[in-house]
Amino acid sequence: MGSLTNVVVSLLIKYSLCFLALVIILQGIGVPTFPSLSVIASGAFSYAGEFNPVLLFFEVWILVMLGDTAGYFFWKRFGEFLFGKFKGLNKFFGPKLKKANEYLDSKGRIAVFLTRFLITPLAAVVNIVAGLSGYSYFAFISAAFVGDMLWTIIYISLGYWFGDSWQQIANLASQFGQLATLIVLLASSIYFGRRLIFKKRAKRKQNN
Amino acid sequence: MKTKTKKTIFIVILAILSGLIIWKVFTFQSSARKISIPTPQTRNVKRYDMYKNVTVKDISLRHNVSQKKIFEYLKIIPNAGDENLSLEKLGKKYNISSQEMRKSIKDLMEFIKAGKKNGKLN
Repeated sequence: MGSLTNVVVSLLIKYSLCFLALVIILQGIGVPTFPSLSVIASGAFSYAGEFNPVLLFFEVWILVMLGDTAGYFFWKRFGEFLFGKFKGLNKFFGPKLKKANEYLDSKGRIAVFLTRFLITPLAAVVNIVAGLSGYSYFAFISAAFVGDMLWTIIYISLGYWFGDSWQQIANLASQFGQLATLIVLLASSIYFGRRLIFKKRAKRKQNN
Repeated sequence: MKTKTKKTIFIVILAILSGLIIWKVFTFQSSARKISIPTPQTRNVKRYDMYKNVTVKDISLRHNVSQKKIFEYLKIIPNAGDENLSLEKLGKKYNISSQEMRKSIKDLMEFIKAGKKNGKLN
């Protein structure tokens, strides 16, 4: 963590907005760049007077929405290219993506909203699925709008309030995101596992 | 795949996820305990402590201040390569206490602020 922190701090001080833009937009596409660390650090430095906190909030919020948009369209275009070129992929993934699209149509907004600020490790995955499955961009960005705002407020405020302890807070925030993701995965596993088992039982009862 | 095999895999996945969650809860708790909640007084005192990971070169580039001026405020007669050391490492190298370093950084930042207002920084 030490050397990563030093790199983040050095790049943030030297390039501020450009560095944040790169980190946040790449994360939206799916490249793991740990934007929460950079945003918490920028919150801490805004308390020291390096950045205007209100301006920082709007800049980061806009960048996060741009990142989500970039991720959505990148995977939409990339998916169209892949499935156009490799028909076999379309045959295999097509029905699955159609199912994903139907799921997103019914529960997509809440999934997009929650993954923006609470279950953040799954945010990039949701971007990928939304883009590949052709989920409505308007529905996607309207759910991301509030979720991204909450994420920005939370992470900048954490940095701003905790100041010099920002590294420990960034670590804690990352651990919280991982914990929330694990809980969601457990709940999903139980839900889909039970459906699988009870489906088999119901079928067996019918046959008997 | 047989139903029994699927059930076994399902139970194994649940066990692994549950174990990971319990482990994460413990590590989260132990990390949270190490952090002290800042008060307005401690925040004011430690306002400039986040500069401990910043180098003299970074500050010079960001604020367009000469490295010589920065070292003056830090009360350090630098050797070659010191501009690439973080302020924390500089403090350890030149035996400057964290309190003294904090004051020096505060004075430096106030000079930079005032300099930006007046248009004079070097």
